[in-house]
Amino acid sequence: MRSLSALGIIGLLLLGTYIATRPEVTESGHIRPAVLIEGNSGLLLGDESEALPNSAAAQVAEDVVNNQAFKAELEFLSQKLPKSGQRSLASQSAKAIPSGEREVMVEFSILAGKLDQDSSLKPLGLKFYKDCALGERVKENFRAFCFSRAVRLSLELENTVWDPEEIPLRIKKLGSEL
Amino acid sequence: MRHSNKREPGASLNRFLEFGLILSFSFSAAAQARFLLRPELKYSQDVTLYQRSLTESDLRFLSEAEFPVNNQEVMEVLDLTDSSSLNMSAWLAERVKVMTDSKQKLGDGAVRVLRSPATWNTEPSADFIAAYAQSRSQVMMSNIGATIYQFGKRTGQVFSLLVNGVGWISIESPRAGVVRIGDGYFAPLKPQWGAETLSRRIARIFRLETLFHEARHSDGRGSHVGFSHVICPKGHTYQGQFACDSMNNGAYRVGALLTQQFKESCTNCSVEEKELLDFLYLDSRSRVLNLEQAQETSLCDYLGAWGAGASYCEKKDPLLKPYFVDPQPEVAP
Repeated sequence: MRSLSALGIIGLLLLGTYIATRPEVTESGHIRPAVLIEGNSGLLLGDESEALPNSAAAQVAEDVVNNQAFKAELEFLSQKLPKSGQRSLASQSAKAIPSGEREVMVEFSILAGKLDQDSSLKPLGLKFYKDCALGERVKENFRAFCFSRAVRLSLELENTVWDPEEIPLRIKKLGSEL
Repeated sequence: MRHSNKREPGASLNRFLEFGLILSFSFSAAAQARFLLRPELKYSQDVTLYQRSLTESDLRFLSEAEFPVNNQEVMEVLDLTDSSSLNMSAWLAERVKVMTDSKQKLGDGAVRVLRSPATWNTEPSADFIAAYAQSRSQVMMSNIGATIYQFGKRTGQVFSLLVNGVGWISIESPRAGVVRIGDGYFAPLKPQWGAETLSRRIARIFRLETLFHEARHSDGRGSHVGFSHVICPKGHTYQGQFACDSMNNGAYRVGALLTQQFKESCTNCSVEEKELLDFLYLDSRSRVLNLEQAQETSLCDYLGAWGAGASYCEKKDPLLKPYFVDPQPEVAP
């Protein structure tokens, strides 16, 4: 009886592993290897060697890991976007840009560098810029900056002119200066 | 005023390194000739050797820049015949003449009354008191020459200011050109923000943009003496603060135009650097209220190149008229 239970458990484990790692057929008819991602470490399981050359499989895995990490970075940056009504001590100065905002500004520049280096990240970048430009609580100059970047990326990736009505004209006009 | 000789540990080493930094500057003969044409900027004794060398290096960087020479906006706002870096350097030198550090006193015998004119021809700006309070809390830099002049105008006095190592400076007009460094002026953009890829170049441009901004405060007459800022309106990024300009040729516009010149001339800037310059430009530009959108904006040009257009690119707002104030500095009676 005990040996039957043990066999049953092993059988279930094997079935679970098969389901998790079976190859999928994509819309274009290609077989895509199953990929399991564990955190940011990029743990791979499955029969990718049969479906794609090793280098291509590794590339797919790397892209997925990169995208996941990049997505997390963007989510973190979204939370840091300066909001209307927020005032830091440095903002008492007429000339200075408050240090917290300068920090976000620098992160925006790093983001632009990443998008320039890796085109596969651009769709995620576009989503980030759109959300930021639409954010009613986000400070106006950040919204304008995001609007400008979203319009350019949208044209490049979707071949459409992104011009949502929810964004006030003054923000669009300011963003169009860039 | 007695100057403390007390030195911090490692000060000797720092001074040695600073001296090495100064000796290490090298630049082309043409740029050198241009640079030497610039009137000498004077420093108070409290400005460290390192800060002086950085500032001199910034000014050389400006004079060496290959700016577009036909930027109509720059020529119009700064009243220049061309927008070359040589002309822009000269414009700056006329307006910023003495640099003091944050320890520069405005009391304790450092300011004295030269004379008390019976009348002034014009009234000072209604915003002056707030602007004065604002200038004292500036962290980047403040134009204390213009501030003292405005204060004198309000109280019916002409002052002179004692700058350590320079002597007494008569503040007969907003053009006295005395600027005081704030805590944030030399603060680096890195490594606090972890952006190792961002070069010293951006910090340099940021400092120069601040100098040009302050230079504009050395101008103006009547109610616009010193080109005082106004309170930013509701909904603005700097809502409720004296961080905006009502005129189209004020300090923020000047700063934005300088950044634009650097952006357009920087052929070897990285993507990250260009992005940051874009943001700096936008920040200054957003503080110029009621400024008509440029006829040919960058984004609309981009859309046009793709054969596309957008509502915000179509027409200029007929209600907005350029609002320039006279930059000629007045002189105390």
